[in-house]
Amino acid sequence: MDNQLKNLNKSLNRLMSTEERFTEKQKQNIRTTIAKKRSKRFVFVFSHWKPILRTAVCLFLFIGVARVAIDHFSTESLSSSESGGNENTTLRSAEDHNGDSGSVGPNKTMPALGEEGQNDTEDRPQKDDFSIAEKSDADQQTISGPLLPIDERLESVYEQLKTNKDQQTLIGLEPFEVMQIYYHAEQQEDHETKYVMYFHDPAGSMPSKQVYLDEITQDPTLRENTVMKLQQIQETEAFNQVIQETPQNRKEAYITWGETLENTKHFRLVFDESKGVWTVSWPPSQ
Amino acid sequence: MEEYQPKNRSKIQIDNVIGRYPKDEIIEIMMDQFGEKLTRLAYTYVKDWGKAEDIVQETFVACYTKLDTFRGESSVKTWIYRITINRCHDYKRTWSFRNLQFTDKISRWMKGETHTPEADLIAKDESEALAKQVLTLPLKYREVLLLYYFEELSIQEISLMLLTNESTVKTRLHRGRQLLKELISSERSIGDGQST
Repeated sequence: MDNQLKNLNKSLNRLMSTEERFTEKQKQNIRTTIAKKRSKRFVFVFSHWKPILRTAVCLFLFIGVARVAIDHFSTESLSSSESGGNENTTLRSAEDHNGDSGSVGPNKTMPALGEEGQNDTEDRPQKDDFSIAEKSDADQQTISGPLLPIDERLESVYEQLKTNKDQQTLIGLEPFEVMQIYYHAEQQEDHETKYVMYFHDPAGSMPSKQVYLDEITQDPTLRENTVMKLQQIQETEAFNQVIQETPQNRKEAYITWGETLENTKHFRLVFDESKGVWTVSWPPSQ
Repeated sequence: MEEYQPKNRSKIQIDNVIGRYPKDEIIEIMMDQFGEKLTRLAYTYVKDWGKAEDIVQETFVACYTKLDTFRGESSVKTWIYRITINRCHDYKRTWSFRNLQFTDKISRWMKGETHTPEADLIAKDESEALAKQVLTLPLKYREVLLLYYFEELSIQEISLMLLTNESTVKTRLHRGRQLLKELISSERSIGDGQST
């Protein structure tokens, strides 16, 4: 049987048909079907050019509108952040960004106060930040460090603030001194006092005290970042302080430090006119 | 690199010209090299020349449309055979094919006929009797026997075409041969009984 199976090819072919089954006619049918299939694509494009064109125009317009809307939104978001509250910035991101100038965020270029367009790739909101520093009436001064530890006078103010939780305890203090107390509180892990020091802009999105404390205590990486940040800040010898009026007629102070442009960090404060004190902007730094 | 030059298509190594020759020319080469074989292969599945020709036509059109996506992971031969076999399987699964088989059997029974389309292939000698029996085997054994003996493909090629393991192909070949032996011996015993 094996030999017969080996001859299966011949015997089956003989059984099935001795004629050629795949003829020229078959080939022609295939060629015609392929040609029809090919022409159908062009026919579709030519016969449906109007809806195709309409869809393309609509898509183009939609993308254009979306782009403009995104640009507009990001600009608004930035101006909101300048006025003491950034609606899109969470507590965690703010804390993560503290002392980390390499991180991404709308206020990334704040450290570049007093210095112009360092990088062409930087986006528009960052340029808006520069505009504050570019104003000629800026009150600028260099302050010698170290930031920490604080002296007895500031220590006494901190203790009072810790007890009475009243921002007016800070009356008469310079922006840099407020920053010193803020970082001292951070060093003590006294988050409640830090919370008291923030500028509570009614238009801003300062989280509630409970949310703030919950988030800050539940993230172990925040603590690690803070320790590193405090270590860096203690090694800093000179700080640059700029007091500036914003286009919204609000007095703001920027304290910057860092050896190189890339390493520059900043801390932002807002003058609360209703209380007559310098308060820490939310978020204070990036 | 080999550039396109029209020449005797049956001698061209199809795997070497994919992507270099125009699509139309590649289909022409495929038709010359595989057209007849595929039609006969399809016939062994569907046992209807008209349907076998339709299946092969669909296969070549599918090859044309999918040629751009052919990545050369298998040979062109394996690819085109697999498309044909899949289409044959699809056809055999259709309601129209099953219905046709059923009505065909009923009408033959009503007429008192006992022969099947396979019986139309009248055996002239023992080899043809064997070939006839092969066509009556269940599909899963028949297809491996046909691909192995009729199409003279290797076990590996068959496993690629049917997307099964080589061991499965070997098992089916073995089982198919056994069934064939049983069929032939039972036919012989019937023949011997009739002659005595």
